Amino acid sequence: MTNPPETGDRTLAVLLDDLLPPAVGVPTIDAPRLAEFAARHSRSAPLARLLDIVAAASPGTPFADLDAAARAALLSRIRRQHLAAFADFFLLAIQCYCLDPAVRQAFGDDPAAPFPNGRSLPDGDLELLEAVYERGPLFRDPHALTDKEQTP
Amino acid sequence: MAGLPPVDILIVGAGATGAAVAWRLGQAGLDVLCLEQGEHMDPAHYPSTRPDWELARLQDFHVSPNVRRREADYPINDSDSPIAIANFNAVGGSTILFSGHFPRFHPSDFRVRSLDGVADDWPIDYQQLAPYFALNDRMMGVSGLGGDPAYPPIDGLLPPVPMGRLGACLGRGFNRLGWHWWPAYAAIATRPHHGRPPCINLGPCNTGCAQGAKASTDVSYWPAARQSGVRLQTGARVSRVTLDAQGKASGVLYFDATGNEWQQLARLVVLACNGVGTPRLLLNSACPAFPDGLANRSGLVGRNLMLHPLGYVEGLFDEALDSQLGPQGCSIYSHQFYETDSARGFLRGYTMQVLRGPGLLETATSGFLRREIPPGPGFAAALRERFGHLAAMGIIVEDLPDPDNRVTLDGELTDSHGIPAPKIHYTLGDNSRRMLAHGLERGKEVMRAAGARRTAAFGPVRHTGWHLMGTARMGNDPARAVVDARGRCHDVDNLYIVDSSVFVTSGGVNPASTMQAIALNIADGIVARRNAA
Repeated sequence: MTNPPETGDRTLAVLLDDLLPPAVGVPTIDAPRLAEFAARHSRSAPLARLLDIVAAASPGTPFADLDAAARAALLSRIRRQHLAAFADFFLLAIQCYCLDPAVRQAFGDDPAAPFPNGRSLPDGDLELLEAVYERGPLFRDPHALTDKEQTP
Repeated sequence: MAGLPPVDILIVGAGATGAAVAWRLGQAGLDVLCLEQGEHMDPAHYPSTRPDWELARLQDFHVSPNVRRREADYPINDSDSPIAIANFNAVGGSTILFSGHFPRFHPSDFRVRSLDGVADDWPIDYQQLAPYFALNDRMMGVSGLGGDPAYPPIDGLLPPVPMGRLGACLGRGFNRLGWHWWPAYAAIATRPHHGRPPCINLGPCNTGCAQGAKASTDVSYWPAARQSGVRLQTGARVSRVTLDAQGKASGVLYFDATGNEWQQLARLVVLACNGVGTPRLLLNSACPAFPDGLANRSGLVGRNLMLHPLGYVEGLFDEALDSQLGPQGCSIYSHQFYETDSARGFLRGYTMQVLRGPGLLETATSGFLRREIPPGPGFAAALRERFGHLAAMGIIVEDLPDPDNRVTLDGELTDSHGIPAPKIHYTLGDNSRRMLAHGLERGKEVMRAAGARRTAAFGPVRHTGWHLMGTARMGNDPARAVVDARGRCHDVDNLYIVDSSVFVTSGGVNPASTMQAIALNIADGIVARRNAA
């Protein structure tokens, strides 16, 4: 079954709202962005596949027109029955989401490439090692062991 | 097929050991050519130069050649192994993607039979390798902290990589248990070193270091080797080692980047293709004199494959650890359970390697797959709770040699030149299973002692087969070893093996430091033999 484009767009928008909703202080991604991301990475197939599964699972009423409880129940069933397809779709959505600069900033991540500026990192407290040092060596030195000690 | 004028020394493979040997032999004034199937990497194109660096790990910088499928890669049938083989094919070899964690073997690792009654002793020891460990540390630029009670004294280290909040937090956990821990040894320059800039904490060292601080051998050994006159030819895939009428290695056959086949003649051949690539080449070099594979009268070529089963331990902390920051594989480590204590229910031991936490994408992905971050209204909150709050630890388990764990040739699978691909046959031994289970539990104990609210542990982790050892083992008895103590094949006088194929046992640490020290030692043996001739 092929999902009509307009229905597919609405379904995708509502799917994203349900699965990756905006939260306090955290934006989310919209359907066009996910579709563009999937196309750019030659991974539109998982997206189309889940849309087809959703369409097939709600033949009477378009998914986007269902109420929230009905959508949640439907998605729960799809996740159980089409585990791999659901995971492929959601992992793709997660990739698009987590690479979005605004989303990354919202989580306290630096959206810039690590290079060339790098990241700053505290040295940590090397005095914590005193206790380790004071316990003394813990390696075995074969040259210092007697024959008796070397016998297992 | 065209023949090329002979060279004194022909090295196959430009990775960790091929580069070290090339440099050492070049320094001695020998005429050296190295053939490498990969190309030079351009650090300007490493993933850390891009905001979407986390994606590259899943694509063209994936650790598995079967996923990555770069032109230089050859396929590996590892479907008969719980651990998939990881490598990289380029100038620098797998050091391009290694994390730079750089501990040495312990002195006891070379006396396994004498001390613990298992496997075999090596024909060389820590004392013999000590000057080569030191030399290699200087060439690679190794950071760490002196005074580590887990080792004999190690001098000349660059300052350690910052342990960060994560390392300090887990260090306190180790202290509460009274267990050993220490800043990691890292082949990462923390100060300018031999023209390399210092580390700036890019993070994903294991996708290539754009800064050039990590000592992949393309930026550590190779510039110096080239200055010594060593020639390096890339895009050259060797298909077999050839023999002359006297049974000596006469050179190799290889395909160049355009697919033309050549014969390169040489007076001495050195194999540095790693613990899978080297036995593959020897087995593919079968000939009437060696119907079971070149230099394989012992029947041990490809056998005794050791992979270091790796366990993963994770702790979730309320406090922000900023654990996503810093060199991914290098923070602190512990050898509390490294030396044998038979009361633990297994022989030999393991490393606890504290890893940095995952990036945002990996945090979300693994959280979803493990059903800890649910799709829906709770997604963002669950992700926020985990990102930067996760501590991770690898348990690197010593793998004992087992002749049934082996590399053979696949009957059907070939690379792009039609050369038979390697096939991996590997199962975890009982000792390794018990050790892994012990390590996973002790790892969780550390996490809890450090304040983790939740812990998780599992292993072996599939895509962690970086440490490829034992498939052309070293020993004095030609019936029980492929090469002698100086890396020379018992069966072929002028054929040497310098990579971790020669390991007799695997230790419980990342092998790069030890295999490069062994390679330098073998190189000096080649020079001495040349000078004596």
